Amino acid sequence: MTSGTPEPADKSRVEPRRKRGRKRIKGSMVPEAEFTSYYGRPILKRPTWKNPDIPVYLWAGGMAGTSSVLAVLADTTGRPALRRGARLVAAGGAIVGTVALIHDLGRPSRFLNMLRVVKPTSPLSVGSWILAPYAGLASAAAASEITGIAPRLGKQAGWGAALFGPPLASYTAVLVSDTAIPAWHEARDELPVLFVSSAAAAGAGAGLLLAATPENGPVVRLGAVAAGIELAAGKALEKRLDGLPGGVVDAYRTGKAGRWNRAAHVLTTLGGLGALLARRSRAGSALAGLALTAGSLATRFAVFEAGIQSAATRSTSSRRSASGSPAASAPTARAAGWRRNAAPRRSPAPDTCSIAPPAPHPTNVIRPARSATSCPRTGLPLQHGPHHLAHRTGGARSTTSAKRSWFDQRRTRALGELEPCPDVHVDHYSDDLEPFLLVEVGGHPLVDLLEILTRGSVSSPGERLGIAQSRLLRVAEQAGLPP
Amino acid sequence: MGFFTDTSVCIGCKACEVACKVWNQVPADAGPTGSGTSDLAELDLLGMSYDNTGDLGANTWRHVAFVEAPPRTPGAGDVRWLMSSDVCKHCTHAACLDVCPTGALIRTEFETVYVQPDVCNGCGYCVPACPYGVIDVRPDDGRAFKCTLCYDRTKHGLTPACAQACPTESIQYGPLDELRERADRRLEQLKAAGVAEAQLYGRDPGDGVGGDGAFFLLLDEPEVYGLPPDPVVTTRDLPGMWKRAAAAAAGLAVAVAVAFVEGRRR
Repeated sequence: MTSGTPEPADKSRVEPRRKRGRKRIKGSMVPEAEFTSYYGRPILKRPTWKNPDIPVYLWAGGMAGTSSVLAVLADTTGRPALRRGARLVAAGGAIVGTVALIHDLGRPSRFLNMLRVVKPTSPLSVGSWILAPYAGLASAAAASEITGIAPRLGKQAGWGAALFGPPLASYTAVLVSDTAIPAWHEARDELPVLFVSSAAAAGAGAGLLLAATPENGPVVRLGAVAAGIELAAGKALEKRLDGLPGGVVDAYRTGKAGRWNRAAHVLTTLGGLGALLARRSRAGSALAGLALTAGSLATRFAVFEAGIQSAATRSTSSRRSASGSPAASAPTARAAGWRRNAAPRRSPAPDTCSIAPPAPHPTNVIRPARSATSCPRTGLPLQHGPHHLAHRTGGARSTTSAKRSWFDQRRTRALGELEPCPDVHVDHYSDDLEPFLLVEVGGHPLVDLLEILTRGSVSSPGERLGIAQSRLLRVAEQAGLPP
Repeated sequence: MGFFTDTSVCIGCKACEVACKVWNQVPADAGPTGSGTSDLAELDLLGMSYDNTGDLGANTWRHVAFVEAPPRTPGAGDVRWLMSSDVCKHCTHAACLDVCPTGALIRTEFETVYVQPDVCNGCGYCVPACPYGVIDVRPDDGRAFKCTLCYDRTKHGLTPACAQACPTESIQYGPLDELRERADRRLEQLKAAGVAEAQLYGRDPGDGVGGDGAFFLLLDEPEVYGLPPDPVVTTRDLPGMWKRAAAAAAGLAVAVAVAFVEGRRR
């Protein structure tokens, strides 16, 4: 709809794409849902994570995490071939995952910045601190396995890797669900189970592929059970999202994500059954293992693509109730229909409130406010007491932490406050204007001199706002406005 | 310190966009369709409007939305022109800051949210975390960028470039409590003048992001301006997510162990 010149004559096209999402249900006079948006553009940004990198990392990390646990248990139960295979997979997965993660960075040369801070509010920071020791330990175990050097140290490294393995497999679920993307965030309860079972299936699949038949009893059972849980978790995830308005579940069922999802279902089912049925055959086991591993990879691609689709297709954050009255098409009623949730809000047209309040939107619902006296978004100053001002002006933050408990504590810990470290500066263009601001003329800062010279345009913010307000009021008065 | 953007006096002049670009040396934007044209004859405009940037992003830190809405009451003209200068909200509970793994995103002494360009390694986690879709990664640069609330200017007691340039004082900069009072007065004034649909957006410190450091007076519902109606900081649910992930990790270890234990009995 790009046009070189606006066409004001065409009145019918002046309206924004408000009617875009309106569909009629069969036999109903009521539009199913009405989307309002800014020219149909998505509110959320498309994740910039690169396509093969992140899903491959999710898969490789999960497979490696499971494999390192397999390796130590295979070692203690006397299964050398399984131990060898699992150690190699653990190291390979860790290396592939690390390379994929670094390649995904916009500035790969700065990958070490990931270990600059420890931040529990950032799953990626936590994950970096899991992956870094894991990759070292798993690689050491694998190196000892291949070279035969220092088998005891290798064993200890293997145990260390096994300690970090399960967290490596599960933290990635938090990584994706700790975003504003509805398809990820709303699946936050199911994703850990899905990711861990997918990781177990991939690890068991790799074990089936690499270990000889007499040793593969544990991986057969693990693979079959993991495949079953993975399928069940996928179903539970879709069921959860199905109940949400806004078609969030479509992100998993349509497009690329839908295709990956179907492939994952087929491969995981085949792999799980194949592992059980063909456990006596080397070739059959290997094939089943391959299917399980591929199914896990497909699951990761499905989840990743679902997030991309979810961010791109959501052009609105609200959806009107399908049970709206037919009067909803009248302009005033439509305005009332935009009331987004059941939370108390200003209602300029109470007579049109027969429209059922729309179901709360998945990501953007008003959660019950922490303070009972607060009234979300009424504009009434119920909660902005002195404690908030103290919070804003900094310094006195600790006094408010009892009231705003979790957030403030985390925030302060998570480098929320500016540190006077030397790396805080604005940009590194050579013609930075900062030096200009610091220039002194005759012992006075140049900016101060300019301020005196050009009073009115560059004065103190408070003064300036005073001028702004009086000017505003005068203009409004003169115009005799409905302002 | 923060912004109060009173859209009822915005005239859509885009002086804020220009001032922001000039002061912060923000590169050219690719336009709403991503054409990246600089040819005046083929201006990349959004819909039928004068909007040639489309949304906020790595290269657009102030975005003037042009909405052509149908009139509230029949016979009140052909169209309501709604203009609003959008900007990073500098949330009190900022998801981008929370999820940043490098600590590149910080809260400044002005309680604003600032990306340190020399720390950011372009992991892109802040991009899907932002409930407003503000921050983005510059593809050619690799790092994430957004409004700094002119940290370099505010540090020296100057007004941010956009607020300085705004000819109608639609963009106001100052201490948030002062701005909130001002906004409340303005809202009352508008209501008294019969503008029933006027509302404050992001003003309430009790909302899902703890209130915005840059809040707005809107003349229609937020969705109309491309703003999420009730944004929630994603890290609000993080403790629960960590618990489930820990349980899942333990489950994985137990499941693998059980697979071996039964294997020995056979």
